[in-house]
Amino acid sequence: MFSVMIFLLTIASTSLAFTTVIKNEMKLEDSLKHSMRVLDTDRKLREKVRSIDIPYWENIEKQIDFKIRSGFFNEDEIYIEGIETKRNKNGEANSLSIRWKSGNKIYETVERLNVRQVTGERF
Amino acid sequence: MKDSSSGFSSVYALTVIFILLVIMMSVSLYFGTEIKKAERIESLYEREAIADSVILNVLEDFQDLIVAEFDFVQTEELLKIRRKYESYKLEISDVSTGINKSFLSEKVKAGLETEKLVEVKGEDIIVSYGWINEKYAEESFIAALHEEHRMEDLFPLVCSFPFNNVNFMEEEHIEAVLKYFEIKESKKKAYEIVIKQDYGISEEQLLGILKCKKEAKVLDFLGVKTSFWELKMEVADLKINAVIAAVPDKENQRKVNKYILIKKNIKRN
Repeated sequence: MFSVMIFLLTIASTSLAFTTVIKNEMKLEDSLKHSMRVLDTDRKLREKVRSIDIPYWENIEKQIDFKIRSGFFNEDEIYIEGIETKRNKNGEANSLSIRWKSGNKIYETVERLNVRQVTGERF
Repeated sequence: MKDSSSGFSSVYALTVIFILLVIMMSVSLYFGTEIKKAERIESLYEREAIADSVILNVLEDFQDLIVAEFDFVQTEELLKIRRKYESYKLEISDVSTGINKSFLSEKVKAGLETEKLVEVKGEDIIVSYGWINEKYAEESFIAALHEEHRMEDLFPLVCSFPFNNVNFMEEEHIEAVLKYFEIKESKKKAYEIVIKQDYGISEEQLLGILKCKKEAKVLDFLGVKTSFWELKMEVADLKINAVIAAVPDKENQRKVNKYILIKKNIKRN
């Protein structure tokens, strides 16, 4: 009788501890999944910016505008809020800033362009 | 005598503990995998940052090439750069000496017999980098450039920096250029240039061989400095491919004012 009681008590306390652990792990898993999704999306967008190959004799800003309009940056499950061309101190378009939404939060990915325009006042 | 229920309960307890252990192990394995994935992304960002900084360092070192009177395989400044980045397996090559079909008009291409040259020398003679000289480009191409850019902004894209560096040119190509500009003894002169390539040909030597003045039109095609260089490297397990351009001096467009990076491509190995 005593051993049955000990067994039941062990089961009950283990189950309680297990439920608590599982609950916390589920929360952790959700937050980890979210972080991974954010990292993955950021990575995808960076690779997309890096893949832009515009001949050096073209007007980069015009070509990027065209790419945005033609849906180049659209990806499944990424809700893009806005894309902006960033310039360096010489006024040269050198990177892209992409604002995107995941859950209720808005994130920003900024990546340098791999191509450079060779015309302009700075020369 | 032992009660059979004590044995019964410990088997159950062991089974429950075993199942719990299996569940816990699978959860920790899952977390382990996710953490590894995050670490991989983090390490890639770090490696890309290293690669970026190496490219910028090479570009900075390339500025020393401005003072080199002419560029050839043994140019001291180039050798220094090669030595410095030897561990990154740095390869430097001229990617603007050759036939740039995009920037030459049909009339000029026909005059240079480019098709014949490609037939003889193969596709390697075709290049896709170079500055544009308004005098030799297709009018429609220049008109399209004017639509894309402001007229005053076209330098250095449109300039008179020579298309080719004679120190890296093929004999047949030099001969075709000399013939196009009706230079006498084109075959002999092309050969004379080629045999001097290993020692490097200066502007003065080139003028001496061609027996022409500094203002001669043939010098729009023949120069001693390279306008576009391609770099290939391996940094932190990443393959780098970059293109550096020589921006001419606005006042003397046969001279280099600075080198700029116009393209880079970083790929995972």
